[in-house]
Amino acid sequence: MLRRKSLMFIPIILAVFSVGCLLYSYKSTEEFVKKSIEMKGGSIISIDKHIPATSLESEIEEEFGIKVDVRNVRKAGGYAGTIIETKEINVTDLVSYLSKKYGVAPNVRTVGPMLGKAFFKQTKLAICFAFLLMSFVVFISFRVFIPCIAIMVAAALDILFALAMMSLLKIELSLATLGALLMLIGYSVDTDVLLTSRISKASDVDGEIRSTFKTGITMTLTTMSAFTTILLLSSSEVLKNLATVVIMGLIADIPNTWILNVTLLRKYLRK
Amino acid sequence: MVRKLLKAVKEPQIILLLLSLFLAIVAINPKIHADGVVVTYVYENSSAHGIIKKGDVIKGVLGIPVKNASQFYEICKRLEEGDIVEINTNRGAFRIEAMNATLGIEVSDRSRSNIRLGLDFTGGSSILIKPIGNITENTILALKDVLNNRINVYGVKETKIRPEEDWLGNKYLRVEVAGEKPDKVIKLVKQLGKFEIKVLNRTVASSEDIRSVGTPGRSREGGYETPFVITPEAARKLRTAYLNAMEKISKPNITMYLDNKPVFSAPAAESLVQSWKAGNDVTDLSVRVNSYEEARRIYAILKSGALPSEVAGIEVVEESYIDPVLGSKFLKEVLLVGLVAIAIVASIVFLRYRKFVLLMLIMFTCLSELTIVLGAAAVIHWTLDLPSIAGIIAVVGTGVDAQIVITDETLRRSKRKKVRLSLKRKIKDAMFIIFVAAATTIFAMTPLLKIYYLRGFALTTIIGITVSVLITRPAYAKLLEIFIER
Repeated sequence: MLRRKSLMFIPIILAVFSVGCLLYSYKSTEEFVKKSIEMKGGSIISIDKHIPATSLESEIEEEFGIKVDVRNVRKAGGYAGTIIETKEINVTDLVSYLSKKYGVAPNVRTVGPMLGKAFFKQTKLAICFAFLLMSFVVFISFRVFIPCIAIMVAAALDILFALAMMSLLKIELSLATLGALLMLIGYSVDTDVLLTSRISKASDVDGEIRSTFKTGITMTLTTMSAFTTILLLSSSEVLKNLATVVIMGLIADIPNTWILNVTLLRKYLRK
Repeated sequence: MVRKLLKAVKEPQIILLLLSLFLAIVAINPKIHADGVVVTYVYENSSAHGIIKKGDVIKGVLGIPVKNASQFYEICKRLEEGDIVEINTNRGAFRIEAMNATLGIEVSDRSRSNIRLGLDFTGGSSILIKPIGNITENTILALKDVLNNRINVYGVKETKIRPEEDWLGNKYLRVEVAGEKPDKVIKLVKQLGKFEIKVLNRTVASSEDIRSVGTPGRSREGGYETPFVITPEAARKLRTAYLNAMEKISKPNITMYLDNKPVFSAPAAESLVQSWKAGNDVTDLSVRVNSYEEARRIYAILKSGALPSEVAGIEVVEESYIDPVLGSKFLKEVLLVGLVAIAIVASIVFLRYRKFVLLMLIMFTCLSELTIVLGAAAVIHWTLDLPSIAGIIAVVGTGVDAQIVITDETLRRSKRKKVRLSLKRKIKDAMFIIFVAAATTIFAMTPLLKIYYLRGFALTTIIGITVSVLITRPAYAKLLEIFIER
């Protein structure tokens, strides 16, 4: 589709940008992506009522002497609720205080620090395994080295960009966003597999790329629109974060498939 | 159009799709009328024991139709000891002798279909406990039984206990209780342990000495009581210990200990002391308390049995509580968002192809996929939690993607009429792409099966993709072949 080599600068810049973002975040916080309470232990209290974050934060600190992090969740057309996070494990008093004072029935989730660490360890393992298994299937299916590497590079860069956007947008690595990253492996490979299998058999490579682009971009657009709907209409922060991560990855997937992968495939076919 | 439809239903791929769709609907078994309540527990000393069974559907009590659980309990409250009550169930009518204000039966509302919704939507508590000690598979199962015994008493609604294991080899038990706060569940779980009855620090009975425990109910002397029977040996010990203690204090307490902590303490009733003084070892005892709740707590403690000996202690590593109102609100929201997302995807598909028939075919395929996945979830009794729903969204999303690939491959053929032979080949090519893409996703999801919180997500994705690769996508390709062919 996009023939001029000069366009290669787009995926390259994206990759450099992603790595830069993650390194910067590591330098300033010692974490590539911020871990959620689920991954380090603590409590999350969510309320379906808007209470201004800063005032509630200082109120709880004054009343209970514990450090909390309060966020307001937005939704199309206003505020959807309030989320309070703390490292404390025992929040029974805080919850009953909130329910009395604000007349709310909060959802509460507490994860012990040991379990949090175990979750984090498994998360890293899950991403590595998923990626390895994916590569295995791709290699078995195509059995040619360069195109397979191209698919893997494209998928890895999609995930890298999604991670970079997570650190930039302050989306934490939770079990939900882990799910999103793995979902992304699937979505990312979809378009690359489509491209590789069509082009490697085609006689008119340019024409083939053009028609494949049309198919692929429709696929990406439908997926993106479904997740944008979730992002805009849902009031659950879990679903919102999941949707954001998928959308970010899909944005990167467009140049990574249609410029980077196409260029690599062309080079391979010309030989 | 009719001719094409007739042609379509003769194709094996489409027959398979329709058959799966039919089976899925049977499995989901949607009910428009779901009156009556389901029996969740029958107390051992209730006269209903052995007659009414767990899982029975009670449709009426005393000729009054029962619509839901709270109405059932409302009727029971008016019963008096010895009333003969006719109960209509799905297995016929039975006559049961009532106790004070109870039939000794716990029930819950009936569900409207076989699809089970998780705590994210029904509300309730979920706690994850990690037994400490040298824990094997068997220890976990034994612990599960003991906990089940204890928590079943609170089984007003559904209680689920299941073993979990993570990648790192840690073993856990997950306890889910619908409609209860976690502190209550934790209290119940944590109190589990060594049970003893002591009089002035002298142990007279432990859990092995408890022969049977009766249903908690109203006491004739006012208040509530939980009757229980102990072994003759323990009865003798109790009598001598108590009479000895009475020489030191006027009204010594009999104290129940769990894990060496006192959980209940009260002096013996005057009538009991009299029969002890008369020289009787009393084996039939009862604990009298002020509230029904407390009577049930005592029942749980007496019934709990001992912890498996390998378990040195219990640690609660995770607890979550979802408010039932927020849960059902959330379910409605998810359904709404799902519908809007489908509508938007449909309009993009329509803008791209501008063919109404195509739009209908794609939407039909998507909805079939959704129904079959839900049917599969119902068959394996999978509880749909939030991650499972996310998995279903992912499946439907990739489903649309695959149908776009198939459509484009097929339409390309109609443009280049010269290569007439290749229609079948084109679809084969499309199928190759889809198989590879599906396999990568399935493999990417496999590691998640080991992380229990995301198991639902991984499982629905894997089931969904398998269903679509084997059933819906071949059927869609065939439908397309028939409807686009002119």
